[in-house]
Amino acid sequence: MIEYCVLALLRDGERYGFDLVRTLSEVPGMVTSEGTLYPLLSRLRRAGVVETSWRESPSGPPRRYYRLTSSGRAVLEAFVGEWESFRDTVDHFLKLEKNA
Amino acid sequence: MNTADLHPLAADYMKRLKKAARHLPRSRRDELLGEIETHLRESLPPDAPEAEARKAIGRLGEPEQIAAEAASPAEVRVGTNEWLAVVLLAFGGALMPPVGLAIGLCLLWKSNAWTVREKVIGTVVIPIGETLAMVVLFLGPLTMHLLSKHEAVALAILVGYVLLPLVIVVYLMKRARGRQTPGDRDSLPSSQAANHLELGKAS
Repeated sequence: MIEYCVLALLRDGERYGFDLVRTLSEVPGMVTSEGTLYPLLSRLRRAGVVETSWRESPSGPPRRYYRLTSSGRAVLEAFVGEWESFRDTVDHFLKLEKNA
Repeated sequence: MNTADLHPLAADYMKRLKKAARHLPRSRRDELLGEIETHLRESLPPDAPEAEARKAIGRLGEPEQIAAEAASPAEVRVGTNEWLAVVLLAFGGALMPPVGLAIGLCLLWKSNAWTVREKVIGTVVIPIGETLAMVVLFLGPLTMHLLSKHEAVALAILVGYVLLPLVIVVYLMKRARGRQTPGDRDSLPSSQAANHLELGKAS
């Protein structure tokens, strides 16, 4: 699941690795160890759904930025469709239970 | 990598991570160490109080766990070593016994391109075939009246020393290549990339 959250965070533009990891870890219950997110980012890069580039930083060494590739965008869109229909189905049954 | 300007606890942490990550392929290890070091620089000023440092490092998690996460799924490469392994297994025993076969076996068992089952097949099938060929060479002409002695010898050598080893070469290389990790720079079509995500360890 976290893979798709990463892709969703990159939908509106590229992000710095540290910023991406902090954003994910600040949501309670989502991430137990910030460090294991970096291998996950590396896997996404090797799968071709994100790509990275180096940018100069105002302070300190250059930073590695992550952004969606066109294939990553397609994977995200396919997931959003599946997720919404899955969620609606589950909601439908949960509401039935409540009303019964 | 210069860790002199890191917080002392962060420098210790990098030392542990380097040790835990030493078995990773080089490019993957450098990427991981670089990203974690940047993370430590961003989250922890060199003069931060110890309690704050412990908290930042606690959020990062155990170095061993991070390295294990980076090791999966293992990258499978079919290169010179794999080709050499199968060629030596198939023909090393006949061409330069026993060194050729021994090197072939070492390379076979060292590689991560095959499962244990495939390695066992690669190890035992050829010697069994060769032994059967030897049995036929010695006993065959006595029991088989259909073939002349020369025909039996030729057939035994052909099957035991050429055909069977070739079958094993094809079998092992097919298995290994099917398992090969797509290259870093290959971009996958989206459907394949999606499969790749599902196959990767979900957390």
